[in-house]
This record gives sequence, structure tokens and C-alpha cells, in this order.
Amino acid sequence: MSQRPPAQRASAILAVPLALAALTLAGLVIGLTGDGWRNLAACLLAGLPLFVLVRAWAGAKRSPPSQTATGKPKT
Amino acid sequence: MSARAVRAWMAVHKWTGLLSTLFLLMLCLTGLPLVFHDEIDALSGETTEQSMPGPASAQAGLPLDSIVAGAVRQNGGGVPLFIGFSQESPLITVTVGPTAHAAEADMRLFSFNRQTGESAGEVLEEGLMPILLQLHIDMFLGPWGMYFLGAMGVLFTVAIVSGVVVYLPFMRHLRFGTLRLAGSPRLRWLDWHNLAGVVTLGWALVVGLTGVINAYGDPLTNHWREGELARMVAGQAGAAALDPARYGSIDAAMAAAKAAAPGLSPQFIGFPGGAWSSPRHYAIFFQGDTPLTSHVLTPALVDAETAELTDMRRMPALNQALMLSKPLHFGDYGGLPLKIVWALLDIATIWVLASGLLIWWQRRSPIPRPGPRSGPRPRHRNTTAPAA
Repeated sequence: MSQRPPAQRASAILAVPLALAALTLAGLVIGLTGDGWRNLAACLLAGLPLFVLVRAWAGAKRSPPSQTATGKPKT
Repeated sequence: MSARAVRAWMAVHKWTGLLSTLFLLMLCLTGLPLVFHDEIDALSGETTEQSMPGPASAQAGLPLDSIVAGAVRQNGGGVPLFIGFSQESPLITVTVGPTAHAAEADMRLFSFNRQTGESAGEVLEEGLMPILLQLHIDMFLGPWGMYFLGAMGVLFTVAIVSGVVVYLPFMRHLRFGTLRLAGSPRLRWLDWHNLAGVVTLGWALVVGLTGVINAYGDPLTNHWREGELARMVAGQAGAAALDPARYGSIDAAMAAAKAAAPGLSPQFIGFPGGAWSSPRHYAIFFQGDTPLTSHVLTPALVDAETAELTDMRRMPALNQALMLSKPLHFGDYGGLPLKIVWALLDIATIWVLASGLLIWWQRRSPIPRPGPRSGPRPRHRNTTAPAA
């Protein structure tokens, strides 16, 4: 028998995506303001979404069923 | 969100996405090599900043009059239209055309070493890169092609915003980053589409919106010329176009402008009668002295005959936004590592577009639709998508 995981609020669903978008934006602007450490910061911040994407893919390959909102395995 | 609202947002997302996807795929694919245009130019043996050591042409070198005369000679006559300076090397370019308001297709671009006066050859629009650039800008359809692609950029932006809205009901019962690789092909594509789309949200919005601004850049420049520039030369309203034979010294004009703008560095000069100047002025465009303000231009209008400074004003905010939007759209700043990140984000966006198309293509195989709070509940693990 499958148990429904609890529903999340919109703010919880969008927290990570909006934080990622803000950090990407910050990176793109920081890169425009100069060279040196700013280029490095721009690269790391703008590269964050790629890291998240690869991490999610690696995680899904390792443990396919873990997909609930709470992270608990479903019964 | 009510079931009706979800359906409406889904429809907006589907149709804005479908209408723009093919063009966006073209833009993403042609944009990919354009990110690396400096590196590709260097590999193909073109004269680049790196291959010409010495003081920046914006700061020092031989008189501009002699460089311009050399370019006109190489062209076998004609009228100088633009001078482009480098902030890093002695490389300087001069655009020459048959008349003061020559069409872009009739212009020729010559490059020189301002330190030695040697010609660095004509910059020819040949090879794959100019073709890709033209495809990316207007698909070889001129201004209307550009405006059309701008409209596709608007649709893309609406697709992104509506995508975020429909992401909510889909993810109510799923953890961020969920990829159900063991699910049906369509479910797999849906998860990839949701995840790749939502993590590239910030970058895609920036590139989409700056693309729209760039697409409508020419009307903005025309608006500046007819508004602000006309006001700057208001004291000489109605003055006749200056005969190129009466153009005075560019070096004298530059000296007059620099006296009014100490510390600023020239980026380019628009000659009288062109899109970037009045009928009788050298418009010397200075850039700011910090990396960020280097994208913001301040034009000084100097009478091309008398070398007297007429006026100097910052570009209006809209035009400044246009200038800042160029690097933010093409990603050709911040060094090679940022360019690589840019290219990977571009590939991720191709992934989002392709997966969106596949989800639509496989629309007969069912995925539970996101529904209202009171909607039906899924019964199987692999079909948990939404219904909340």
C-alpha cells in the first residue's frame, strides 16, 4: 500500500530554485565588475546549477526510489 | 491553485514553448560557438589582441589622421565611418564606406597596429563564424528577422515564468531534484525537463531578456540619435551635412574631447552622417574607467570641421541597458572558465527545450496531470507526479 508524502508549500518548493537563480544572477553580474577573484566567483556561482544537476543525476542513479518530499522511503 | 488556473498556466507554458522552441534551439546551437569567438578567431589565425603586444590603441600611438588616411587608401578612396579602439593592445580598426551613410553591406573594415602604423589586414566577414552570427541575429532576414527573434525571446521568457508556475503543482509531493530514471520514458523526460529547467532559471531569464533587448537595439539607437543626440546639437539645428572633404583633424577633435573627459578612454568614434553621429560631428564615445562602467558609454560631440566640443552627455538609461545586455547575452567575458560554464548552461537549455518537445511528442502516453487540492490521488509510486 502506498502512502502519500505530505504536500509542500509553494515557498518550500521554490526555495532552492529561487536561491539558485539569485546566486547565478549574482555570479553573472560579479563577472562583469572586474577580473581576478571576481572571475572565479562568477564561474563558481554560475556553475552552481550545473553542479546541482549532475548531483541530482548521480543521486538518482544510485538510489532511484528516493523521491518523496520528506526524503523518507515510501511504504 | 485551482484546477482551472493550473490548466490555463499549462496551456500558456505549452504554447509559448512550442511556438518558440525550434527558433530557440537554433539560437542555442548557433550561440554555442559564438561564446568562444575570441578563441576560434585566434585558432583560425586572425589578428587578435593577444597577437599584438604594446600600448593600448585607446591610449597612445601614431596620429589617428594617418591611420584613417591609410585605411581610405587601402579601400581605394571612400569615406571613413568608424574608428574602433582596443583597451588592451595597439589593434585599431577603421571602417570605410562609399558614402557617409553607407549601408552595412557596403562597409569594409581595416585593422592596423597603431604603435607601428602597419596594416593588420582587412577584417573579412568570411568563414563559419559570421554565418552563425548572422543566423543568430536575424536569420539573414534583416531587421524583421531580428524583431521576429526578439518576439521569440519574449515567448521564451513567458514560457520560463509559466514553467515555474506549473512546476509548483508537479512538485508538491516530490523532493527537489527528483529524477525518476526507472519510470516511463515520458516520466523521465518530464523530470529532466522540470529539473534542468528550474535550475537554469536565472541564467535562461538573463540570456532571454538580454536577447530581447539586443533584438530591439537598433530602434533604441535610432531613438537616441533622434532624441538625445538631436538635443545635444540643438544649437546647430538645421546645419547641413558636412562634406567629407571638409573633415578636420580627428586628433584635434580627440584632444578637445579628452580635455573635457580626463581619465576616460575612447571606445569608438562615429563619423558625421552615420547612425552614431550627427551630420557634422565626430561622436567620440568614451567608456567608464571601471570594468562595469566600461560597458556604459559617454559620447562627446566635436564639430568635425572646427574641432570644437559641442556637448558631452551620458547615454540614456535605456541605451546603457542595451550596452550592458550585450556581454550578458553573449557570455564573452570573465575568462575562459566562465565561457565554459556558459556553454554548459547553453547545453542544459538545449536539453530543456528538447525534453519539452519530447514530452509534447509523446503526449499520448499518460502522465498524471497536476490538479486541484481536492483532485484525484495517484495510486502507484511511479505516477506520483502531482495531483495535490
